[in-house]
Amino acid sequence: MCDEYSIVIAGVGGQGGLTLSRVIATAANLSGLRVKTGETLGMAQRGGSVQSYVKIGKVIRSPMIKRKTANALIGLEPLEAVRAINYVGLHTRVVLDPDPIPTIFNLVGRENYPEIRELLGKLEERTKHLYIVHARRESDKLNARQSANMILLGKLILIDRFLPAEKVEEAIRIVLGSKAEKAVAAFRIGVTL
Amino acid sequence: MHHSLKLVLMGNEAIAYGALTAGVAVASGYPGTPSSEVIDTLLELISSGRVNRPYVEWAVNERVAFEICLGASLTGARSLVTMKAPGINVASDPLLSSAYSGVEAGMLVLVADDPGPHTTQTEQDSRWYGELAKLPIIEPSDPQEAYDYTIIGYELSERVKLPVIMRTTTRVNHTVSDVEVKEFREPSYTPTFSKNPKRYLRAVMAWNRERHGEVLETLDKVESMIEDLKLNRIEGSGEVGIVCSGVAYNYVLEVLEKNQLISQYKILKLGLIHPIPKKIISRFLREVNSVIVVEEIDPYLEIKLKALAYDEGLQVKILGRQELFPKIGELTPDDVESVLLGYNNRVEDNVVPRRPPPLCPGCPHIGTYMGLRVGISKAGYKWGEIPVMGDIGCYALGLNPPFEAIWTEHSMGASISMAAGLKAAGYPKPVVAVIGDSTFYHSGITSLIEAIHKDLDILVVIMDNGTVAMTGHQATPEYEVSISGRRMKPLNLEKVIKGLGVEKIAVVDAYDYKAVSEKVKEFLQHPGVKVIISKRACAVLSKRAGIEQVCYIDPAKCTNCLACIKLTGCPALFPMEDKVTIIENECAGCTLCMQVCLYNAILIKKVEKNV
Repeated sequence: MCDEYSIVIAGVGGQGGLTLSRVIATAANLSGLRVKTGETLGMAQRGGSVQSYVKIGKVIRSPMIKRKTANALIGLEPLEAVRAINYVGLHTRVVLDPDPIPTIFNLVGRENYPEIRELLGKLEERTKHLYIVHARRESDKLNARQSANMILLGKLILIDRFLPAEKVEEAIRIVLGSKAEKAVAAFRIGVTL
Repeated sequence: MHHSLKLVLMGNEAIAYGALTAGVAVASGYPGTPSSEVIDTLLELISSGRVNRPYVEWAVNERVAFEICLGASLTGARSLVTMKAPGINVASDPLLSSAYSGVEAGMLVLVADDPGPHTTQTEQDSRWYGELAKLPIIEPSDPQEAYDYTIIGYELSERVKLPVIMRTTTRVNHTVSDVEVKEFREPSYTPTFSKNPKRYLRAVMAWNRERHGEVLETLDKVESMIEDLKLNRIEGSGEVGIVCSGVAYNYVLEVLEKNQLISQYKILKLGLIHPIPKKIISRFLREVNSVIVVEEIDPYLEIKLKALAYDEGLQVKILGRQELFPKIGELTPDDVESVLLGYNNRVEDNVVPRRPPPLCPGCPHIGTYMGLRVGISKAGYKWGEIPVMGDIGCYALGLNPPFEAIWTEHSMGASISMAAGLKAAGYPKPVVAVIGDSTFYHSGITSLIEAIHKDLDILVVIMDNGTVAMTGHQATPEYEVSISGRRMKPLNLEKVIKGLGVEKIAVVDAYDYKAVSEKVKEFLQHPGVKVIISKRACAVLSKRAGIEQVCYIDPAKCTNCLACIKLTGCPALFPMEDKVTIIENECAGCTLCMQVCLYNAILIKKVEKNV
């Protein structure tokens, strides 16, 4: 792993973005690394846009990430991934669940949800490293939609190996306690996709 | 004895741990993002049996919370009061008097500012309260310092015998980081209180003038009294000076280290924000050629430094938020890099469709807004024709489609008093105020007393979901058992309002939107103050406790008219090709969609109560 690894997690409130950042932070701590996360909580807790930032490494100063410098973007939803596009640079790995979640404006017929191809195109303009993972569809097979986030994390660990997988699993168990089993199962799907 | 442990903690958790390490005995506050998790964490530690001594409870509002902590501190108990930025405005009356009476045991006032803002009505810089209230302010830069400064704050408070304000910003409160914590200390004190009129009585003006002088003298001595606490430090040896505090310090270090510029700069990192430590600043200003001030929200330190340089006859150039940085919004490392490297690295516009948080599936506010809309129309007015004055809480999300209900959202309790204001000015149409139960107890109750007494014609709809929902389900004055496990004496909203003398009052089920609408129609035709309590537990809590039914669509009957979606805005309803579906694990079984389906295409099924 390099001196510092920074991840932006973009999704919709309720998708488990904050749990994901807590799991990564805990895994980093278990691996003897320093960590800082930046979280947006409160109004964004359910159904609104949520972004969190995780930075792990030997020395971490700011919890915020500079634009175009994220090592990875975990996109739990495509519109939200594009909302975080300022953090995506040439070398950023984007791991994305491409299935859309409509906004309230879409649902009441005020606006159309953007074309998925157009959203993916915007990400591809920034980086060659776009990985599409149908995480919600995969987690539905486990009857564990809440664990789609862990599938995406698994995929990112497979790509970049910035933390040992066993430390991530240990962290999932610490953060989720009795609810960890499905999340660990989902993570294991992610690391093989 | 000095056993320490490295934990992964959010800034707010670190503050709670710091308070326990300092032996806090009484903690109170009112929930508000980004401050709520401090008291939440203390309550969790108590309810899980890890600590038992402190009195930790949510208060009805910040002013009451402040006074509880002030009273406690006079008996020798270390106390902690927490609030978001607008909360310190609510608490400002006792805050300003508290410098005159001072404290016995340490009292820490946590105020969490929200640059951005992410979740706050104003982008307020609470550091100005230091000057106004004549109290010391400290500001940590990350979760570790939040832990350390909490402990130092008690030491400082007891040395100067004044409450100490700890000012944080969202990026400290909500940052999770590894934090080294020490063992918790049981509070050790015997509550005593000695009569001391000159200190505690503000009714004699000569005493007040005398105390004013004493407080100013104390503030002058703060810097030298706390040198050993090492709140302020100078780092590096370059010729360009940077003065910073809070999270901005970390942005500065990151930018300088990543660009190998650290050797060219000398940094003054301030932890004591008020009174500004003049000796160290004055020394610093003499050691550098120019100064850049990097701070979060207003040019507070910048203005103070410029004044100090003027007083001392120094020519050093001082620049900051007034000249170099954006004047609004949250500071970012990109902003700092743009200034220090002298190029424009500002984030470009990224126009993406908005995604505001909707009301949750099964949210009782959905039913209340549906009933309000229909009731107003039954009373002969168009939706959007008569003002609906909003208030602070989840129901403010009624500003978005499909309701677009509220016309104002201002400050806690303002829905009722501003509605009364419209009528006082002779506004000709009916006026409605909507307010949540906790916001009503916080400040709406005094507004209601005013409207009742002046007999102004307003309809007040109290959306009673039995909790402080938006900030994470904290306790209201109706809780019988507090989250800490303490037994309490619950109030009853209906009795309270009847007791105030409201004659036209109705309690309706928020899930029965027609019943809400009937009462709205009826009450709009009556003069004076009318109150509808639209009652139903927050759906997030109901689902957590386990629900027994959910709704589903009969695809043979669904005509895809989308009325269910357009009238409720419920996020559990999902349009699929030519039918609507209901996401079963999202549905709360409230039946509001079923009530509006003209084709009987929505049905109920029983589910096993799964928690």
